[in-house]
Amino acid sequence: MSGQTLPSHFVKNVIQNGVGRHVCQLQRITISFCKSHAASVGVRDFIENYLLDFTKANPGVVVYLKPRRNRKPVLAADFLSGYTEEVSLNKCDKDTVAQWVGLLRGRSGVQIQRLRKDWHTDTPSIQGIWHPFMFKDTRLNTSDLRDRSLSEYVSPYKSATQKLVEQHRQASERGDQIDNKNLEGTEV
Amino acid sequence: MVFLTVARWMPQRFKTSPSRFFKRMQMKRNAAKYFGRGRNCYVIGVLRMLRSMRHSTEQQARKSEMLDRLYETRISAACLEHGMDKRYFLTSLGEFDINLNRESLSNLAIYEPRTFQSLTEFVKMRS
Repeated sequence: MSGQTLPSHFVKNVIQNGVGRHVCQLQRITISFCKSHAASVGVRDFIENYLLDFTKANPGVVVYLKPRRNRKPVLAADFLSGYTEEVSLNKCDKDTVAQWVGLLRGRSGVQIQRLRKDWHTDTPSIQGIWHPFMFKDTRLNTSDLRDRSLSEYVSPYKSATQKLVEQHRQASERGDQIDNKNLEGTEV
Repeated sequence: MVFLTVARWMPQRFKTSPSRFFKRMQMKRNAAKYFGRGRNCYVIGVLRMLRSMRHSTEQQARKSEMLDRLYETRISAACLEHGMDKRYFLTSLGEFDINLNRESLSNLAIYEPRTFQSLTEFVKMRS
């Protein structure tokens, strides 16, 4: 439901910003408003009173003003990452507009979305990510595709011969008397 | 006595609650990918939306259990490669006070396989 409908992404932040010099991620703001309609009163007041202070304090942010008749006031913010956010300033007073502009100035250019994981690494593995041949015999690297020994049946159970050989070996380690009569021809 | 005459002259949109628009907007946002009238009509869609919300809430409790089963599958595969039983491995680690949870162990098995091998060797040595 919401997990599918509402967008989500992995962490992608401008993390290196601030390690050296801080770079303001806001590239430009475009304020579209009406010169006469009552809904744009706050925006017009903002432009008259607060806008020039903002531009002097933030010379890296380009400000465009678009007076358009009979339209609702909108603020479009473009970030360095290419992301654009539009904020409706309909019937907002000048302090609210100033707050919106201040908020957008401080944001990174990452869209606010549900994070699937709150961590990210470029190097998830130091020892090397597991692959099926990691713990297998390296003899396989130089084996021929036609090698029949690789196609032999490997039984999970021990055969009778193997059991007897093992018993013999254990007995000889213990130092018991060995009866070699029945083991002629068998490799011990 | 309830006087209804004046209220009857008012247009319909002033009689409905002010949150009508927002309720419908919420339903349409959540049901954007549903089929048919469940996507467009409020009365039908809101039931589907509430049911999916109910399912999500119930699944939250079971999510950690499901992930634990996934991690155990991975740990089991890694243990078998080193000739060890998963249950024996996990209980032994607990006995020796190596408190790695299943998520960490499965991450080790995938991304740090030599570390995982050394853990299995440790358990074999100590047993």
